[in-house]
Amino acid sequence: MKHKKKGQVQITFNWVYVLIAGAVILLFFVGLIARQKSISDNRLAADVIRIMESIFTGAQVSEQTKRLVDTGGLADKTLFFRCSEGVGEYGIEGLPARTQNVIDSIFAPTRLEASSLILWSIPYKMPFKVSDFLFVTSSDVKYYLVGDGQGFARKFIGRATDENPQISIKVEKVISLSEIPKGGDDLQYRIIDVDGVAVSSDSAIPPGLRDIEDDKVTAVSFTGNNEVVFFKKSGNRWLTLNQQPIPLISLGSEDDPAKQAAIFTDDPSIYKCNMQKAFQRLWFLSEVYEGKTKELIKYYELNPGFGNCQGFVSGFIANEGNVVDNMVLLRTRAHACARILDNSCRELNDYSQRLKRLNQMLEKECPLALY
Amino acid sequence: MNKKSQIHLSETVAIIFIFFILILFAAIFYFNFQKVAFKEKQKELVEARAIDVITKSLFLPEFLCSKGEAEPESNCLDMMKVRNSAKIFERYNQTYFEIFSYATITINQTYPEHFKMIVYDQKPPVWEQKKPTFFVVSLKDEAQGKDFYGFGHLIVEVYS
Repeated sequence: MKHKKKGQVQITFNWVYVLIAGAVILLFFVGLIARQKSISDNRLAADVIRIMESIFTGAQVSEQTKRLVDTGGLADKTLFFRCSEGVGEYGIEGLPARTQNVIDSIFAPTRLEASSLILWSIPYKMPFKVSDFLFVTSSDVKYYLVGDGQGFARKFIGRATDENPQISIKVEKVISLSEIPKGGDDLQYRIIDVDGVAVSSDSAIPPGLRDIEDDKVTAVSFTGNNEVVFFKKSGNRWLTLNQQPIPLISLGSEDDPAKQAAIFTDDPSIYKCNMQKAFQRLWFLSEVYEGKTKELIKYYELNPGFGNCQGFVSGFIANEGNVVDNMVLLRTRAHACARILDNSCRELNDYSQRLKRLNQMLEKECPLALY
Repeated sequence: MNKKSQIHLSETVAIIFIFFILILFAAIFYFNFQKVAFKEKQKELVEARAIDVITKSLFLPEFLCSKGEAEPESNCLDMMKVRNSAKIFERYNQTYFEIFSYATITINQTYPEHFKMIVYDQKPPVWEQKKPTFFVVSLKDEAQGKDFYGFGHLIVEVYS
């Protein structure tokens, strides 16, 4: 009887022991799996960001081309794009993987949730090539253009759309904002007021977009003074995001990269930060071109038979001044604008225009030009 | 009865011992596998970086041969700019490190005369491997006369 009781206790003890040991082993493996899942999630995010970085590099150097990036596996994740104090950053929300960049100007919505991205690269010239602006958007962003902007709207639609629907940006021209049809919550909407009259601070949101979440409706307005103002939806009214309009710094060519850049980013501080990156690059490049100018001076000194050439480079023949002086002014202003983008940066447009005309004269009359 | 219990206990200890031995084997196998995978990944990253750096170098505004407002000449480096870029890369080292990272960029002209020029050189304090990538380029040097073109290689070496 005594033996039987002892046996019963032992059997019970064995079961308890098996149970505890089993639970510990199970817990160990559950912990291991959970840890591995989080590691592989982070690794996947890091891989995606690294691949995106390579794709962005490739897309950026392919001037005037549009590319499609399938983000299939990340369709439910949100990509973010930021830029502050000259440092651009993009990554996946909620995951530690991200990449930073102080050189390239990437213009994109602050948050982008889409199964595919459209990348579009445009060279920024002041007057020589400074950098390639990369625009990032998706087919989930719908753009409405209102106004004509002296033909800008028509040309922009021509460039943004494509025969291939996958890389065609969803853009539509409307006569007035009331024409915008009722939108759904699955898209982001961006109004582009190219004449600067349709959207203003505290003006009403178009009826078709009133029921959409505030974060999904933004606008940009180009004033007649060649400035840009950013807006976002706040209830039924437009809220101005930059009290001080930002000057557009570009040579105003057909595809005006600075203007287009303002279309693709929805935050004025990100726009300014990316433009400042471009000015920093312009500052460095001006120094490179100043070095080249010295070689041009030497060349024309050794070969004096080329009429006005030396005058264009370092003399006083053209109304525009000379290359040397304009290059110094361009470099100095670019240096300042890389730190603060304000109205004084408009001078960059003047110096670039002058250098462009001097270069055209050099190309026409001389064997060697600046760029 | 005591002896039986002792045998039981020994059995249990033996089972636990074997179990932990198996776990140890699994862990050793897993860590070795991870080590190999890490090395493979590192190699893959270096190769990807080499491609990125050479792509960026070939299209760098500091190097490329421009033709006024027209499209720049492809696979061509303007030596009048390259000579000055080398100084700029050194002066603004921190910014250009963002583009090239740890790398050495050399221009090796083979025609008409042979010369080598290092335009960017940033080696890590300690490195295990160096991955060189070569690209054939034309080298426009108008300081020597209008439309004077040399021929050579752009060599990008990345370190890890």
